[in-house]
Order: sequence, then C-alpha cells, then structure tokens
Amino acid sequence: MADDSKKNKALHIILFIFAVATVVGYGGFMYYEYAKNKKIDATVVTPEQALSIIQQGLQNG
Amino acid sequence: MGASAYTKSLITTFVQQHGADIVSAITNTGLYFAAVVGQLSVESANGTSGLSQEANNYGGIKGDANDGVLMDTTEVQNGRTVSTKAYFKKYDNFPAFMADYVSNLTDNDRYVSAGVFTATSPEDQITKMVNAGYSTQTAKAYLAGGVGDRIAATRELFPMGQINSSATTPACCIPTTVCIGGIQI
Repeated sequence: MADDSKKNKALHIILFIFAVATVVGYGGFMYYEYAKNKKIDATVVTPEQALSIIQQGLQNG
Repeated sequence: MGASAYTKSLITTFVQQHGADIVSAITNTGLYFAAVVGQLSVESANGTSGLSQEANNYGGIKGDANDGVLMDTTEVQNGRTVSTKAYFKKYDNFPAFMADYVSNLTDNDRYVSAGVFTATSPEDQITKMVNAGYSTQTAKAYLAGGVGDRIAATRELFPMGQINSSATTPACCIPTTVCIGGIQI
C-alpha cells in the first residue's frame, strides 16, 4: 500500500508538471504568434517594397 | 497554427493575378494588404465566382438595374440566411473594380467614422468594415467564414501591413529579410 501511494504521488507530480508545461508552452507559442503578427501589421511599406515582398512570397510559395 | 497549404495556394494564385493592382489601389489609403486580399479572395471565390468572371466585381458591390447585373445571392435578414436576387455593379476590368472598391470605402463617412482606416490589424479593419455595414453577417461570422484564414495566409506569405508612398521602414526591418545586429543577411 505504501509503495502504491508513492507511485501515485510520483505519477501525480509528473502529470502536474506535464500539464503546467503544456499550458506554458501553448501560451508561449500563442504569444510568439501574436507578437509576430503585430510586428507584421505595424510594418508600413512603400509600393516598391510591397511589390518586392510579393515577388519574394510568390517565389517561396 | 499556420494557414493550411490549400489556403496558401489560393492566396498565392490570387496575389499572382491581382497583387500589383491591389498594391497600386490601396497605397496611402490605410487599408491593410492582407485585409483586402483576404476579403476579395473570399467574396469572389478566389476569382471563380460568376460575379467576378462576368462583371469583374470581386467584392460583391451592389449596383442597380442601370449599371448592374442581376445575380443570385444570399443575405442574412433578421438572423436568417435567405436566398435572393440582387443587382451588382459591373466593371471593365480588375483595376476599375479596385478603384471603385477603394473609393466606396474611403469616400463613405459610415466607414470612416467606424474607424476602418485607423484599425490596428487586418482583422480589426474587417471587423469595423462589417460592423459599418459591408456585410449583412456579423463580423465574427464573416471572419470565421474564411476571411480570417485568408488574412492569416496572406500575412504569412506576404508579411506587410499598410502601404504608404512615404513609408520610412528601412528594408532591413521588413519581416521578409533576416537581420542580425542591424545587418541584413
């Protein structure tokens, strides 16, 4: 019984760490995406730069 | 969380065909490239709708019996989607459509006062446009109906915001280029 209790406790700790890591990882990724999009949206370009970005995007796509 | 390969291929095709005309039409207007591409791509079924092919009308811009074509359409009336017929404007070509699309927005106080041109993102711009009456749908439904995904794909493929002839963003700070310590590589 004592061994089972220790095993359960260890399992609970692992599950807890996994849950926290998932939440932090997902939150971090969402924040990264948000910050990246915000930077792109704030980028004002000239028509020439816009056409160059289009060319680059078409080549990469 | 990126856009799907299918959505990206639709946007690539659309921008290949119309990107230069869109850039030319929206320069100095405050419209986001991604908002316009996302919206027109969905409204025109990526240029395959009857209205875009027969009338060069890529934005579902309404007309009348004098200058328009009568087409089937769906509208939301009292919360219900109904099939109906309506007149839509007809244009000679895509640049003529773009000129009218832009002036319909910029010359209309409804859109100006709704904050369309002071929006902080393409999604915000579309939300304000729809709230001001561009569509009979709710802004949330309009974005969820494909416009949101296509904005994301456009932003991913063609990373830029608004277009201004006097923009001062150095080439090195445009997200398509990679900089280390201010040096473009």
